[in-house]
Amino acid sequence: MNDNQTRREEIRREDRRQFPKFILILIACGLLGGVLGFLFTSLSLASSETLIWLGTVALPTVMPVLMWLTIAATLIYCVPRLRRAQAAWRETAGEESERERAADADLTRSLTFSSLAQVLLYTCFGINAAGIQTVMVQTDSSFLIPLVTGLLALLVGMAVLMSLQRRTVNLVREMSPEKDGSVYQMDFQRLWLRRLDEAELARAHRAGFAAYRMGQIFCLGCWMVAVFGSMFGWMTWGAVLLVGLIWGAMTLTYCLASRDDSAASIL
Amino acid sequence: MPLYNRLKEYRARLGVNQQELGRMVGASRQTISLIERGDYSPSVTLALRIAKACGVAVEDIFQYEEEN
Repeated sequence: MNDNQTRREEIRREDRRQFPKFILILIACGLLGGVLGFLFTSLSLASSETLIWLGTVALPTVMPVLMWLTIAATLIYCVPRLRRAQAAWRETAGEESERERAADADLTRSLTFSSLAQVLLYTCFGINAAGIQTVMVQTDSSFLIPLVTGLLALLVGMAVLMSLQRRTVNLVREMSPEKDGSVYQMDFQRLWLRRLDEAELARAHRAGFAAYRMGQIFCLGCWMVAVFGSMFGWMTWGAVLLVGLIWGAMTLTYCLASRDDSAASIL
Repeated sequence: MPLYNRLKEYRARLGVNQQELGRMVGASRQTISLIERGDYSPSVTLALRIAKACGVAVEDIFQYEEEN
């Protein structure tokens, strides 16, 4: 048997060894899906009015409070860390010390927190905006108050986050003068990526792949929820389509970026 | 085998800080620090640029450490 045949046989043996575990996982996921489906059915049959009230009245009312709390928490968490990082950097002399590594860590935590706060803010506003149904369908104009409060929180939140992110990026640019781009530029991320050195690029690629893997798992979960939701009237087919579009865009981007030719440079 | 380096020693001889060396070789201050701490192994290109900046051969700065 030559080398290629030996290799093919090894591959087939490995597949045969892993196949039973794969089938068991598929069966377990199917059973879990069945249990979830049963729970969804029971819940929706038992309390569809409650769920509608929750989705169009209760949650939209609560969301503006959560949004303002998110803005406050972001300021409390990020501003001191940013100040500490600024002070530590301005005392150094281009040489990395413990204090400077702590400043880098502060900046990373601040950026992570503000990025998550941004997602939370947009999500809460989306749920808050569902309350527009109450105004349009039930003509209950008192519901405009939480809607306007939510919109105000979104605008203030966006301004706060933009300011924090600008200050963080500008400090990083001060620390690393080779970095290009203003946060106000539309192609800021591309300019930034161009200036990363090999170690930073390796880290960025590692992070990108980790995000892609997590995204694949999440999209599958969201697809299941959207399918059950549309089957039992919580959502429409639009939710399934949205998940499909996001999943498709993410997969296509990954496949194109993995190519070893000019297609990858488009991205 | 782990990569052992004497970058900090040669950088001190050159009389530059991490940021200045980074500018000379096209790397960031953080990357120079990572290399010195042994937390990152540079590519061949970067190792050659560092060696050229320090005025020595690559093998003078970077070596494989023999495991006992």
